[in-house]
Amino acid sequence: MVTRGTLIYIGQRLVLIAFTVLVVSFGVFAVVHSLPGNAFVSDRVHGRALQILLHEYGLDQPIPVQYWSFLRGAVHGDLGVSLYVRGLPITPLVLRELSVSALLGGSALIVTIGLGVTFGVLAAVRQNSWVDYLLTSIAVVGYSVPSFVIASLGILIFGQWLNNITNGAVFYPEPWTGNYGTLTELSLPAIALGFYSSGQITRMTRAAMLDVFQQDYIRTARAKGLQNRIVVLRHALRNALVPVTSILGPTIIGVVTGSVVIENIFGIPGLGKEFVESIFQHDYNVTVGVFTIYAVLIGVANLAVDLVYTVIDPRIRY
Amino acid sequence: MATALPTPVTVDYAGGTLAREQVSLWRDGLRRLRRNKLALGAVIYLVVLALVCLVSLFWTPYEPNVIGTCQTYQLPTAMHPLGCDDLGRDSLSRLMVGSQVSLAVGLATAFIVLVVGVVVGLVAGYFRGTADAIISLLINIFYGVPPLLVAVALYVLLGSGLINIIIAISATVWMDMARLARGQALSLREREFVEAARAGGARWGKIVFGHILPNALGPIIVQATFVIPIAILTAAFLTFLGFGVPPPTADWGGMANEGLSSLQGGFDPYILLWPAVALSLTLLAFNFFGDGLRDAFDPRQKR
Amino acid sequence: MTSQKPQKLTLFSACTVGLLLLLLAACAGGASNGGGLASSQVLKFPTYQSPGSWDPGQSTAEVDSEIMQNVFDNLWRFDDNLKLVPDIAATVPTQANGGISSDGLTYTVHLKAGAKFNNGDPITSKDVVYSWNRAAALQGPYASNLSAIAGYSDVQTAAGAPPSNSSGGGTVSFQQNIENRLAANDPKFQMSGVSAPDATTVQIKLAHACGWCLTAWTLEGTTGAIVDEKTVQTDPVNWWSKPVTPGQEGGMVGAGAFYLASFTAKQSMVFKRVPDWWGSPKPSLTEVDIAIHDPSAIAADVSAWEQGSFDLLGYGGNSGTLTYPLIQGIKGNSRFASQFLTQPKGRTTWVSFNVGYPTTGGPFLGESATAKGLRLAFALAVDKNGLASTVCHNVLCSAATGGVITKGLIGYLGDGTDPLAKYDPAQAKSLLQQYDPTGRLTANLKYSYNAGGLNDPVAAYLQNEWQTNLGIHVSLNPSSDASQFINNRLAGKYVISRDGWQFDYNHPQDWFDNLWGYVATAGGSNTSGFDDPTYDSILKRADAQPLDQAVDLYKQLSQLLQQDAVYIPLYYSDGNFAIHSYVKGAGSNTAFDHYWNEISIQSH
Repeated sequence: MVTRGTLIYIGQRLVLIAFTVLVVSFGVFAVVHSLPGNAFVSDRVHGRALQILLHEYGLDQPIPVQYWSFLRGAVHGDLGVSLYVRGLPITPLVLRELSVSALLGGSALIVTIGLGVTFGVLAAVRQNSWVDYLLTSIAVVGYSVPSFVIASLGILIFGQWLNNITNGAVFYPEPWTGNYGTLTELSLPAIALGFYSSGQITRMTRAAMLDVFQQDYIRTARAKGLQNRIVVLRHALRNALVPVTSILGPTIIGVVTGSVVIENIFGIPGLGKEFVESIFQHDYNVTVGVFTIYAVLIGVANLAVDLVYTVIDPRIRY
Repeated sequence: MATALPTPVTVDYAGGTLAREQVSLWRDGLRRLRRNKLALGAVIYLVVLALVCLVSLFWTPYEPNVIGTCQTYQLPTAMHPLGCDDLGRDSLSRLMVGSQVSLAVGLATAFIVLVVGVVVGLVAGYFRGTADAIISLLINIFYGVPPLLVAVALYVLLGSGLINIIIAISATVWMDMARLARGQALSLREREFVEAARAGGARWGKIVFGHILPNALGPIIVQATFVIPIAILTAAFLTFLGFGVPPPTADWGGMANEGLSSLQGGFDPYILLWPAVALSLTLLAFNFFGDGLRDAFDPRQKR
Repeated sequence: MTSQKPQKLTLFSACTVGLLLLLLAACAGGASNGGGLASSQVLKFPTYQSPGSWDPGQSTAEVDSEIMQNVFDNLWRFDDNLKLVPDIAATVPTQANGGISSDGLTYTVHLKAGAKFNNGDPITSKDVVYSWNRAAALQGPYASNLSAIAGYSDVQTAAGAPPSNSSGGGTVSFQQNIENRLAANDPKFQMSGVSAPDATTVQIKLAHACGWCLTAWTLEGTTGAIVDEKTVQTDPVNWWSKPVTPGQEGGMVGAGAFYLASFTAKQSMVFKRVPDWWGSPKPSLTEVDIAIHDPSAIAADVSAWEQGSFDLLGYGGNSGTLTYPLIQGIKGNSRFASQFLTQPKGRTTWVSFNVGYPTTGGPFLGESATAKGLRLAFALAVDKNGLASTVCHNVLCSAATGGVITKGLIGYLGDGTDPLAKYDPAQAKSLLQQYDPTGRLTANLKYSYNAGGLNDPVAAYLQNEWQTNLGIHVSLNPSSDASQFINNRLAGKYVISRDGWQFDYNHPQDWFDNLWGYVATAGGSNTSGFDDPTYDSILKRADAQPLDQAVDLYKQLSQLLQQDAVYIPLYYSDGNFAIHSYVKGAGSNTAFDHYWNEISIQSH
């Protein structure tokens, strides 16, 4: 399975990822440092006190010098210290938030793929029935309605109306507890985040299944008398998953992107929230660190998806 | 190769039409589009939206930015059919004005992506070699970066303002178009009419834009149509996060942001509802339209 | 045999049951100890900002000082009525009790016996001397609190500009350098005016008379706080960010009733009671759990509070987080209406004109009749009461009609006394006609402000007022970057901009010195460029005199500003709290939240 060609391909992709990460991190570094303002200025901190603070954190040196010392630390895994929460080491903070975002993203992906494939299969099997129309419409609604709209509606329904109707007996759980929240707390954000991408997957699954249904070999299998369900699941689904996998990459990117907004709405302590905050707070190293991690994630995710392709469709070789 | 028959011939039988009049791709496509109910509905909605947007440039029921035109958090009444927001501004007027930002962002981004993406993609696909290598590398780098974050970073760098939002969003969506155009150029450059043109002494510009482009136009147009809802969505995300047009200008994402805090207070769900519905309907419409367009021009469709 | 076994069994069971009953009684007895106290004395509330710095030499933000006031003690403190009372010092020095010399230049302070840091080290006068010298050398934002002490500027010069190569290079960092010099008793790093005649006495000599110094030194959570030299030396830059482990060196060590037990960045902080704390009142709370949340979670947190997961909201410098719809929800709910508290906070917001920076220009520049007339016109055209009701719904803020100093603080002039707070559109219009009939001078004006919170609706409101009442279109220039906005404002770059001040301590010097004084402390926050020798000379006199004699002088300064129409008063901020009735002793005054050692949780 893993041929020399595959290894070369993986190597090439890794080089590309490294190159991208380098370019991106320097770009973001330069951008955030070029912004006027800094993490320290306030009504009280200016003039001499400000100069001292800037010097203590090395912020008065030229940008390439700062980037160089950042890079030197980064290759050892040390992303520096936060300027906003003074003295806080960034790497453990970012890693912790990464795990939180991964939990959210992973749950959302489960929702996406679970809902998407299920709806797609159901719609294809019951083609042109009311089930098909309903599910297809839901799919289109899914990728048209912004995730923050769904999140807001969810908060409205489960946080407000349910609470009011049952007079406080049933309620949307309290804000995110601890790092990882509870299962109930995770459910609404995961659904809000995952529903958006599930629409595309529903449609692709349905279309691919319908395509496969037309193929000769399916008719052969049916003619041979195999039960419909087995036909569907074994033969059709496997082949239908190929085009689905092709959009898995963009789906993951969509989940990562959407998580920025969802985390901000629900106050989930993940990377997305950190990213937005760090920009407003001029916490340079945090911004660059988060951006870099995202770039690595996406590169690796795309690579993983491409490799999964080879498993699903043995005809594809690198 | 389609040639026009002097008299249209249609023969029906129980299994369906056997043969029908032969028309050009465009007319055939348009006809199929007309028959697609959802796409038609979408087009009607979009036309209405465009009208509303145009009208709002000159007139709205009330001043959208003047606070105190009505009571804060007012629920919908006859005087204010959509109610008022948290500062006592008429929601209907703000919704109308908000459409300007969304449509402007959507259309402008699509235009930029069309121009930049197509040119870059075609050049890469036609010339191959070093140009292709560089451009493909660039595309891959952009693909490797989370789009919303890039948009935010660019926005932060450029400052607030409509043009800057458009630039920031364009920078994150041009790659798909470029890849599509590149793929089209790669396959079309081997066709006979390109060889003929080259033999005839045509320069590369004429070949690429005069011969390849018209034949690639179908998928490109469809792709451009899909860029619009993506741009509007990204813009809504940006403004929702707080990186938007400066206040007090109304835009749907910003209105949704204001509405969310009202919603969470249980006070007035309508402030969020209208921009959310408007955004959703607009995106739905563009998506249905794009779908219809793609289905209409898809040669593999049987109907 | 058979008769013994059952007997032993019975005895054994009886003993066990008896023991269990005893234990039960002990537990129950403990719970009802103190008459109504709950068995769990853990206070829980959310905060919406991460801490910046808990180093008293560097801290600035209210969110930090609200916490630090429970961990660090100063020589004196403010009680809940903002009166100065002794803390580590045994008494408040006055001329009457000999604590202050007759010329007002020498303060003699006696420390309380038994005062200890929370790591057990006793507090001596050497700790006071060290803390204040360190604070002066660090040249942090509040170092100027100590500026009147003799030798202050010498120490600042000696600490100097940092060495050329800080963190990562070869030379030692700025802060480390200060610690080294102080540990070596380098005389250049000691203020000549602070000395320790004996272990429990501190003598402070001022370079000039100062009526506000005692108040400034009492400001909790800043440079007057007493820190432990041993602890600071374990990590001069980050000692304060680490939790305190009993028995180990280092951590956030102060003299307060609570210590930092754990800190998870952007997540939570836990403070625990110092066992056998030397001060009083002795704390009932054993633990304070603070959850760090995003402001967008405020609505969910209100639900959490209603369900009892949080004991109160608004503490920790977050009294401005509750939004109007949420407040309405709480007040409209019969169960919770009585648990809602609105407390005016010492924060005033006004509009500032460019009065003194020629390069920035604008129609308001200078002291000509035209400039003054236009300033007055713009001021009178704004309906302040309308603003408070439209934008703040009279809950988040109230109209600033009594001068720049917030209501409830010393120096407040009285309701309705500020002539600039009047709303007189007719007069405004006629002034405009008189001084700018063609409208040429007031064209292309931009109102600058930092976006967010109330600032946006306030800006919209102002724009509306000037348009309606004066017919002038002022465009809005919001800055999404607060630090950039503040930078520009301090450099005097704006013709007309939003301005505001949150008071530090209850003394008018805090306002008049910083905001309009030419000889300003803390590097100056004079954004309007206002520079008047009469003002400066009155200010100098007022600063030198004890407060009760200086109040009238400060009043004159207010009137000077008002006559010159230097600002447009807008509103005083109100803080909003939701506190369950079973939380006894919790509340807030104009300056800070009630101390944690005054709070107890009743059974509920």
